[in-house]
Amino acid sequence: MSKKGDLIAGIILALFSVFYLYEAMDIAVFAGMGKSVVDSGTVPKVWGGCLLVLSLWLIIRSLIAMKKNPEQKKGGSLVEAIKDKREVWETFGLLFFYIATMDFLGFVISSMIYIFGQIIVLSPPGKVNYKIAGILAVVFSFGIYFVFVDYLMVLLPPGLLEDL
Amino acid sequence: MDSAVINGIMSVITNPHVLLFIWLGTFIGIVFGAIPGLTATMAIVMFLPMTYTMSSIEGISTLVALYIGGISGGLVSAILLNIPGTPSSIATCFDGRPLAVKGEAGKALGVGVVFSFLGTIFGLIMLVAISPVLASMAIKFGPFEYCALAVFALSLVVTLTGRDMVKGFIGAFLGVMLATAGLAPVDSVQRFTFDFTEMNNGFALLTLLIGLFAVTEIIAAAEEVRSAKPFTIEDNVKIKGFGFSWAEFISQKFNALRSAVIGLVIGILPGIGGAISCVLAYTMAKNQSKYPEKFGTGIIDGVVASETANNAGIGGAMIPLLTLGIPGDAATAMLLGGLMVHQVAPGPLIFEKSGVVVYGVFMAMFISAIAQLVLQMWGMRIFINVLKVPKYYLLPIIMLLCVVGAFGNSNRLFDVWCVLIFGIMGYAMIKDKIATIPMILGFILGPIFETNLRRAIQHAQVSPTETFNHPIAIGFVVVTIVVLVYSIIQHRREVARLEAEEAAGAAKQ
Repeated sequence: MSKKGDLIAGIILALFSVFYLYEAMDIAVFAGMGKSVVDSGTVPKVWGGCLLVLSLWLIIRSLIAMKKNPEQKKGGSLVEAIKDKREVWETFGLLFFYIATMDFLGFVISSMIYIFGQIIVLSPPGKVNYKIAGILAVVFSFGIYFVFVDYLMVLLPPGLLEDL
Repeated sequence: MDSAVINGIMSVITNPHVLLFIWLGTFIGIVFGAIPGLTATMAIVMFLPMTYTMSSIEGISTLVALYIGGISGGLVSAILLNIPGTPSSIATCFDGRPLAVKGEAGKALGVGVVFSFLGTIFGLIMLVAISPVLASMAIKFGPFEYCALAVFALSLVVTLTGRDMVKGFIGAFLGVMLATAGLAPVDSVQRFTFDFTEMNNGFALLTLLIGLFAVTEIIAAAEEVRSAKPFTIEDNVKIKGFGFSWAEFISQKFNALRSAVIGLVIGILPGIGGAISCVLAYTMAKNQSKYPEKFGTGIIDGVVASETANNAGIGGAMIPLLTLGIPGDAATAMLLGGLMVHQVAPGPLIFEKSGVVVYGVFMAMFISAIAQLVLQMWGMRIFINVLKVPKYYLLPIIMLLCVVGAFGNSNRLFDVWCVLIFGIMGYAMIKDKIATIPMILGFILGPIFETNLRRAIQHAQVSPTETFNHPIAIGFVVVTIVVLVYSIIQHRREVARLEAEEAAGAAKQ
């Protein structure tokens, strides 16, 4: 990834480690164990501190690299960048929708929508086949649900098909 | 012979279900190995939920069969497509593909399959021989030794998995930090639970692995939708017998033995995996050969080296997993999850507490090795046809099974949400070239380190001189320091070399 990418990653990681360290300060100490050099908050504080140091290192390293060798600013707007990775965002969106609706719609219906949508998203341009996508969505959603619920004792959410 | 050994072997060979699951598992594993982008780890992730209701021996035998099949199957696409089915088969392409282009695809596949089998058997013999000895040594390990071992294993992973040590350590620290969520070891204090009761047990290893492997794989496929390159499958394959002569087989004995030893050692070391071992074995075979110039032009030596090494690594990676509870790679990390699901606790006491299951698993690995030989030798046509199934039909169905696996782990949607979050995290890490293996190992080793550190400190508080009575622990610490210093020096040299090359390139321009 570019030095700019390292810089962004470094900043995100630094913010995460600061948040983690802040939360680690609040960890209660169990007094029943007696006084000890290491309590339940010690190790998290060490880990948080280490990650903070490493993320600052990454930030500084990328800043130095950017100064030494400035990257040419690429043209293109944020909208273009998102459009360029349209399938990636659609996949994340489908996964989010799938999990968010699974409890309400149930495993079968949400899986059907997900498989159908995901096949359409992943199919190369010109090779989209709605019929096959539909058949696979129905067969595998019902098939996996019944195999797991009836034979493998995994209680998947029935949702709207509770009485089925 | 020990009754556990006999009972373990009998539990496999007298149970038709176990035998069926081993053959099925190996078959599915080969399919996963053969299709580029799908790996042995994905196969185990996907089929773990199906083993939930199986007995321990049935479930774990199925998982190891998937593992063996998954590693072996990579050679099919490496030879016929010039794309390694799994990272473990990278070096198989170097000579396997030229052989196929010369019209000797049958020979390349035959050599690959037979030496995969021999590599697996070599690794298995070493596993059976070394594991009990290592377990009996590790039984003497106390908190000091485990604490030092965790640090040693993690530093080894970081230094060996990538060129960028800073990013390697970032991955490892992210892993150990994620593992601190839930109840603290020793005193069970709540940490980072944010008042969610679901967080009391922390994050499940399974959800982390599904997120990092399955979600990122589907995202990778999404990225390539508009840039996917069409590929041609070399499907004119005819194998007579094993595809090669007895003289050719005998000529490879030293090459195979050397490669098997390399694969075994690399397999034992945590975090490196088959991708490195096959390339290393290939390079060694080339350097030691009387005709190094022929490597890459289509000779069986290259295929032998790569396939023997990556399969010997299976037994190697199982040694630290079973005896110390430390997985060697992502697939064995997944197997660790499988062992936990089936209430088999890896560690030095595994032979005492679950001896029957362990010896049963050894037997299952042996049968699986035979299964991969038979299935690939005489069922190659099926795997060639499987390669023609588009990934955009397979991946959504695999994702569905992964979601079932995450949900079925504790019957709650919380784990499925975790899968998505870890998937996003994995995608961001891949984009910034932060290796995910140190993160997984950090997630597993973090709690081992913390629990044993706290116990060791308690011992040391009672007896301050106690620390010096643990030569093994001190040895691990010394080796860790040596490894880190050596890696830093090597890293600096590498950076200097690259800078010099860049400067030379700029001067030329």
